[in-house]
Amino acid sequence: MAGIQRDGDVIVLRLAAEERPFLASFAAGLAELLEPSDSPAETDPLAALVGMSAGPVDKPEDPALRRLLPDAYADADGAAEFRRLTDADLRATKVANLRRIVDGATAAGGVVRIAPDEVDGWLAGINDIRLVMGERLEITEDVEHPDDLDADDPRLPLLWAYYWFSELQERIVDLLLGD
Amino acid sequence: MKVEPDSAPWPVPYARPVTIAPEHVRHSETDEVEEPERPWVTIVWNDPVNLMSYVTYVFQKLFGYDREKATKLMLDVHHKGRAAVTTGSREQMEHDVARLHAAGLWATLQQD
Repeated sequence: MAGIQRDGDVIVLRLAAEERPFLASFAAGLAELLEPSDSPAETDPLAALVGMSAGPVDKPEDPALRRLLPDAYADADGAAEFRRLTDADLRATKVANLRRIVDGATAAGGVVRIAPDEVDGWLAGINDIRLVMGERLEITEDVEHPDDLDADDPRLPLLWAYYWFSELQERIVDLLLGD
Repeated sequence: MKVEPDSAPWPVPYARPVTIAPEHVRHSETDEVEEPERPWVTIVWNDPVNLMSYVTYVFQKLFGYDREKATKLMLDVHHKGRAAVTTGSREQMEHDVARLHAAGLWATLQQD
């Protein structure tokens, strides 16, 4: 597991050689999934300026994306209007978080210094990756540990990855909370 | 403009808010016409993926809650399936929900 330490206000992440492409590929893959299929800028530059979509924005069909971009209201009309106003901004924020993780993971030397104003974006990006994995693995409260799965279980690689990201997030949060 | 109740062309109770600044109307105990708007609440829902420590951290960071309050809300989410984390105007709650979604928490808003 990556070395994680505090240096004053900065979180220092030391990634092993095999962890760097691993972290970068999950972050890049999710950024790609989150990129809106057609940019609002192509249809309405004014709306794009304020982060609004020009027309209605469909609720994602992929359950993992629905979890990352959830309904804000129980009623369909309220949810649709909120989505129209916020979807582009929310996707852009999440993509920016993930791109920053890709940059960190691919930086020379494998040592990433995460400044205080960057750490929440890192945590949110790691969390979004875990949320998508959780949907793909159909994680429940009684999540199995990879050690308890059969060696040929097809879920095994992703479940290991899920645990790796969980530990990374937990250790950064523990440092921030001062535990 | 001072509107005397007797001269008002509409039912008397409606004359009152015209002469009183809105913030006073809202808090006036004698005003029976304009009920204060029911507040909106931001609800955070439980999910099996978000770490308890991360949820606590997000509540502290976004809302400025101390560790004790943030932990209590996190435990409410975990054990009861949901918790009301902030209360206020609809606009404020929409802002809070947007920030929670950015952090990856599952949140909705509704009128109390």
